[in-house]
Amino acid sequence: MTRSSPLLTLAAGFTIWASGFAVIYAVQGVGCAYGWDLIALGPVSLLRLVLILLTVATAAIIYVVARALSGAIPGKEREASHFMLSVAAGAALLAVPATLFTFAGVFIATACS
Amino acid sequence: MSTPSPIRLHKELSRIWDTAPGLGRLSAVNHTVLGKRFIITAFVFFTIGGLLAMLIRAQLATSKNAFVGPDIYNQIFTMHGTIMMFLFAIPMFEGFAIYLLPKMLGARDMAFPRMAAYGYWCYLFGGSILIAALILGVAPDGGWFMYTPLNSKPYSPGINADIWLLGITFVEISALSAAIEIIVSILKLRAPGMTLNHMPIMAWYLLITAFMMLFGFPPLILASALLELERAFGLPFFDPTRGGDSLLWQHLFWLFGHPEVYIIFLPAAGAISMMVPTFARHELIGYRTVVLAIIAVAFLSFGLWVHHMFTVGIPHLALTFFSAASGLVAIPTAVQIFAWIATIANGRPKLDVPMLYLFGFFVIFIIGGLTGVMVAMVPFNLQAHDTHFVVAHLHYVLVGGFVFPMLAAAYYWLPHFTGKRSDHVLSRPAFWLIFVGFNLTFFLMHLTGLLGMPRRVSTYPLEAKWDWLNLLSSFGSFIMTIGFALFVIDVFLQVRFGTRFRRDPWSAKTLEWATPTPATSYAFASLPEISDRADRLEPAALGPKLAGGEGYLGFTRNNWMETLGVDMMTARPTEVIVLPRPTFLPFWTGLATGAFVLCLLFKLYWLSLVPFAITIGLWFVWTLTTGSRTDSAPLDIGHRQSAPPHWQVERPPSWWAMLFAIGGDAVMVTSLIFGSLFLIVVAPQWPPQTYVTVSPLLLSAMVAGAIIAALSGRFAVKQLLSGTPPLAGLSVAGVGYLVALTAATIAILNMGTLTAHAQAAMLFALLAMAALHAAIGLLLIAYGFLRHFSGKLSALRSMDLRIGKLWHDASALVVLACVVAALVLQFDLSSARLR
Ligand code: HEM
Ligand SMILES: [Cu+2]
Repeated sequence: MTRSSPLLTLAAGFTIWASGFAVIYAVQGVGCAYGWDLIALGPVSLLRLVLILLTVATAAIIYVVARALSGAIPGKEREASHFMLSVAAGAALLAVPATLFTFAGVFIATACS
Repeated sequence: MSTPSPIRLHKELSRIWDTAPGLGRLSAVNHTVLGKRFIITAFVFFTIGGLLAMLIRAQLATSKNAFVGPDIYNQIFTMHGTIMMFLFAIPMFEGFAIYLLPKMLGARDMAFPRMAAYGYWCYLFGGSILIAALILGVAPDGGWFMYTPLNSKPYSPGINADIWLLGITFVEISALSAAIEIIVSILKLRAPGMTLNHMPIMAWYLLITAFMMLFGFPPLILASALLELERAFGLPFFDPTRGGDSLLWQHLFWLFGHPEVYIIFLPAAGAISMMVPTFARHELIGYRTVVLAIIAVAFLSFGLWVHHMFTVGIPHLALTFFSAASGLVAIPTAVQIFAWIATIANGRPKLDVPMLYLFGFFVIFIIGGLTGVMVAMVPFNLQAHDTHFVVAHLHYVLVGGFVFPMLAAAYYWLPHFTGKRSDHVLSRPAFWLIFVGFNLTFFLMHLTGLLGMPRRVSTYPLEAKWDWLNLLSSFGSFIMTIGFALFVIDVFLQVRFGTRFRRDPWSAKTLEWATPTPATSYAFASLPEISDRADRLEPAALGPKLAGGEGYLGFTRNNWMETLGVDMMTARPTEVIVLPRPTFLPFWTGLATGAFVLCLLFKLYWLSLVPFAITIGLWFVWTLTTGSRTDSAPLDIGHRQSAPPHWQVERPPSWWAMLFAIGGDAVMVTSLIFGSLFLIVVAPQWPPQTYVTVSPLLLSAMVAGAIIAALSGRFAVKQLLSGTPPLAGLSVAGVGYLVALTAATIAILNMGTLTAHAQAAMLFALLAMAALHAAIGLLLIAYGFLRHFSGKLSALRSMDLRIGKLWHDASALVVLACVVAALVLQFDLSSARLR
């Protein structure tokens, strides 16, 4: 790891949350404008399926990153890095339920009205 | 080097660091001076905003009141909100940050003293423009969030809205420069050994807040520029009859506006986290958890802006995202409150004046948080939106979450500013008057709101039966005002007549109390070595040692203003940072920028080029005194260690500043691209009847030019590092930029009318954004030449070109992104629509 990256890792989990947010919100807007909610795929619409997949994917990616970060936490003797990486891993871990909670609506709410 | 006596060291350092008296004050670049200036100026604006609030309450005291008419009332509440948010809250926290940060971190100053000074002048001049407009009766009157179409030309034909758009953008320059300065100072200018996990907690708060500013303000600046283009030249970005959308304004505004309220709250929370441990006599519990909570709040607060737009007709699904995030953000906020309560519960608390004000904070902020969760719920929001319930809520969080903590902070740190003791004669009655008055004023607004009283109305009928609640509320606001008056008198008394007192009157354990009080201009005569958490120190013992020169840099050399830069992670000293001496340049540059803004305000566009050119020219002059013409051997820093001067290291503060500036810029560009996609997808009146197009040849020339510039910018660095003059690299890069700039200009000139449809207007905006990046790149190339010909470059002193390289790389990406977005704008995508 380069010298400045511990700072970046602090933001890793929630940056993915934010990117997921931007993509999901954009797809919702585009999907409604272009009528993807009118295409039925079994019990759900195309739009809902895509949004569900995006939500699950965002949560999964964050989870993988969180695991990787907690695996990389050095021992306590390297105090500063230990601190930074454990905060980074903690933040990423919190971002997983945050993702599921923020986008829970994709499972239930009406998509385009 | 022998260590001089404390007195002699003080005299030598003061001679170098002090600001000259008289007119010389205009040349101040010192953080102690500038911090105080920001704080005092912000307080003056608070007083003006408060007087306006009194006028509001006077007007609303009774039904059918004819005190001021609706036109004036509109100006009053708009200016009240605008002043409080932009001219009071943000600059007040900047002032505290600028004054305190170096002292908390063990540095002698902030990283970019001249930028701080320039930021101050922009703030003062921009704020003065707004106040002048208020006095002349042409102040902005469309609400502090400037919704369109109300603030578009047809409905606000006067100069009022332009004053907001240009004046506030001018002030935001200071917010952005402060943000970058705060980030770099925290990351680089710390005492040796103070690793990030050793920092006093307030540094974490300020670091994260500054990042939020860096990413939060660009959407507002962009939106203001677009709306001003619409108002001045008819480009219909927000006009739904011509392919624009007023919701685009709301999105961009609140993308800034919601993070803004956390930008206001978090620094206050940082101050609370410093005060609570001192008065609980116990270190902060859950340091790591608090850092985590701040990170979570910072991010979540960017994902809930639409909760201000619940009633505009956005699909339910989208609303759930923002509603959920709004509820979620309460959790990490609560975590911080629990950390403070736990600290108090585990310590041996003593109740002193700052704690009294913090008690007020706890009560009021928690009520505000609860009503916040209420209005975050969509069904309730639909009822309460635009009523006085919202006015009550927002004041409970803003006054509770910012004003009360700042009053506490004022009492806490005042002894640091004055070197005198608080004699507490008036502080307690002042508190109770403010506290009771506040609750009387605003609690009742929950009720008037629930009874249906809308906000922003100058009057209401007797039949509404809101009279007695409003009268009581107005009565409360006068009680509160008396409280503030007592506070002012109390502070004045302490400053003027307080008794001299030792340093660290509260027995706090953080570094700022180790400086002499009142603070000297150089803060520390020598810099400490920190080996443990920096909230476990003994300032009373440490202070005299540092004053005696026992720390790092406990001497003077070459009349340089020196402080240490450290490695971000290990906090080992990496460089001696040589700071610029006091100079009038920031003042003149601020004036020139102000003249530019005034020209735009009065639509003197050709004339505006003069102050614009002067501003740019002055910036070049700034750089003449920086850097060195010779390579230097590592410099002694004391303790038998040495470090090179900052211009000889790989990543000096200015390198980081450029990196972060690019981060903010990326948000601005992304917001613009988001805006064009938003219009394509959501705005009515699409597709346009005729598409304005730009020749692919010109677009490719833009991209090619920018890429050539980036590549040769890199080549120039390579040349310099290998000992050849970088002239070839710089020249080709300059040509690349010229090609890009020319292509963009030709494209823009050939676009025809830009006012018929937002498609053309957005296309123009994208090309202009690309051109702007090329133009800045060109200036950096010119700067490279200037540095070369003034002998400031060598293989060891290559930072100027490497900073340029960062920009060239970024601007190539930006030009590419803008061109791609421009291509998308030129195609009719509507055939894919099913509805
Ligand atoms: C000092 C005592 C204060 C009083 C008595 C007061 C009173 C008021 C009142 C009555 C309104 C509603 C006007 C209307 O909708 O017709 C208002 C609006 C507002 N206030 Fe305050 N206020 C105070 C302090 C503050 C502070 C400290 C802040 C921010 C830090 C603030 C920010 C705002 C904002 C943003 C608005 C909305 C303006 C708009 O609708 O455009 N106020 N204030
Ligand atoms: Cu909000």
